[in-house]
Amino acid sequence: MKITVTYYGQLTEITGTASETIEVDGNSASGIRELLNNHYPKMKAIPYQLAQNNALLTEETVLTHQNIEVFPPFSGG
Amino acid sequence: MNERYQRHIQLAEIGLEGQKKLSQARILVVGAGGLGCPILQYLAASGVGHIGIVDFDVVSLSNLHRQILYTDADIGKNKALCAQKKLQGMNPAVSVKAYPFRLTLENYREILSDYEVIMDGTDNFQTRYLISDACVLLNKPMVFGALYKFEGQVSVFNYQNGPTYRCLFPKPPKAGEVPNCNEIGVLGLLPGIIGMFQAMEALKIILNLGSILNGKILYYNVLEHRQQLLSFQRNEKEIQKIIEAGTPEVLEDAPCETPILSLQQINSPKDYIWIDVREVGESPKITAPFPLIHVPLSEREKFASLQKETRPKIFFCQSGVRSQTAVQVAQSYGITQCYSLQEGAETIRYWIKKHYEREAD
Repeated sequence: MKITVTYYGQLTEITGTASETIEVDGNSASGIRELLNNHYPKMKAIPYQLAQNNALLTEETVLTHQNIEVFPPFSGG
Repeated sequence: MNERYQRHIQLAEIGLEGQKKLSQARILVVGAGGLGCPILQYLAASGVGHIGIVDFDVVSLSNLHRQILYTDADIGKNKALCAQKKLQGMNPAVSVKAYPFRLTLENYREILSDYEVIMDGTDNFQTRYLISDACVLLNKPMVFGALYKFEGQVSVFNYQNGPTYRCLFPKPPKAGEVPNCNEIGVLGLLPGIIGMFQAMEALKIILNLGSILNGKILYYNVLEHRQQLLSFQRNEKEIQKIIEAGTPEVLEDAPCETPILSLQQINSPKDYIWIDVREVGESPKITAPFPLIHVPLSEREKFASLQKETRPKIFFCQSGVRSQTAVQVAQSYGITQCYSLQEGAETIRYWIKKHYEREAD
C-alpha cells in the first residue's frame, strides 16, 4: 500500500525531507520499519516510534491509515 | 500569603484551598538548565512550598541565552546554588533546597523520596532513564520535557499507573546518535516554552486540574506551530523488569562503563594527549603546556584521526558528561586507551595553573 510518512526532529535531516510517500508491502508497522531502515541505514541507530491516527503503533499493529508519523527521542534540555 | 496569590485564589478552580495545596507541595527539579530555569521560576512564583534543585554543573556564558535565571556574574558558579539564591529572592515564602551534585544510582533514593513530583530538566539520556526507572521504583510521577533544535516533547510518566519513558522508548539510542543542545544548538526560547508546559503539568497534578499528559506525549514544532498529541500504552514487560531488578537499569553508556580519570590520578600530564570536545566559543578557553587539541563533539567524525595516536587520550568538556559520549564515540572508531575526565573545564584551568606553579617552584 502507498503511505505518506511524516518525519520529526533529527529524522528530517537523515531523510532529507519532512514528508514523503512510500510504497510498503503488507500492512504492518514492522514492514515500514524494515523499509525505512533499509532505505536510511542511519535510522537504525535511533529508536524511533511510528504513529497513526494520533496513537503510537506496536510492531504487530495493522496499518489502517495512510498517514504515518515517525518520531525520534530528543535529548536536549 | 493571600495577597501575593490573589489572582490564583480568585479562580474558582484553585481558590484558597488550591493555593494551600501548592504551599504544601514538594517538587524536585533535576537539571537547572534551559528547561529547569522556567520550571523553577514559575513553580516558585506560583507558591509551590518546597522546591528541590539537583544540578552539578556550573553556569557558562553560552548558557545565558536560554537559562534566564542566571547573569554574567554567575558564570563559573554552581547552577543549583545560584538558582536557589535567585528563587529565594523571588519568593521568600518558598523553601528551596539545592543539591549541587549529580543524580546517581547511589543517591537517587534519598533525594527523590522527599518529593511528590519529579521534573525532568536534564539534557542527556543517562539521567532521563535513571529518573524514569527511579520514579517507577519510588512510585512518583515524572514530568518529562526534551528538545531538538526547534521541536519539543512533553509528557507525564508513571502517573496513576500510566506508562513511563521506557514504555515510549524502551532502549536509548546508541551513544552520540541523538545530539543535545550543546552540540547542535537550540533556539533560546524553546526550552522556555517546553519548560513552562512542564511546570503547568506539575501544577495540574498538585491541584488536580484538567487532564494530565498521562499516556500522551505532546510534540511541538515552534517554527510551524505544528502540534501532535500522541497516545501510547504501558509496556508491562519493561516496567516489570525494573521492578524485579529493584534498581534503575544502568545504561550501556552509563558513566561507570566509561573509563573515567580524575585530575588527582594524573601525575604527568604530558604523557597524555588531551582532547577538548567542547564547541567553539565555550569558555573558559584552556591552554596548556602539554599536548592538547580541540575537536568539538559536533565534529566527532574527526576523532577518527586519533586512530594512529599511541599516547593515552583524555577527553574533557565543560562538566564531564559530553566527554563520556566522546569516549564512547572514539571507542566505536576502534581507538583505544580513551579516558573521560571527571572534572570540567573550569576546574582543569585551575588545576593547570596550580600544577605548573608547583613545578616552577
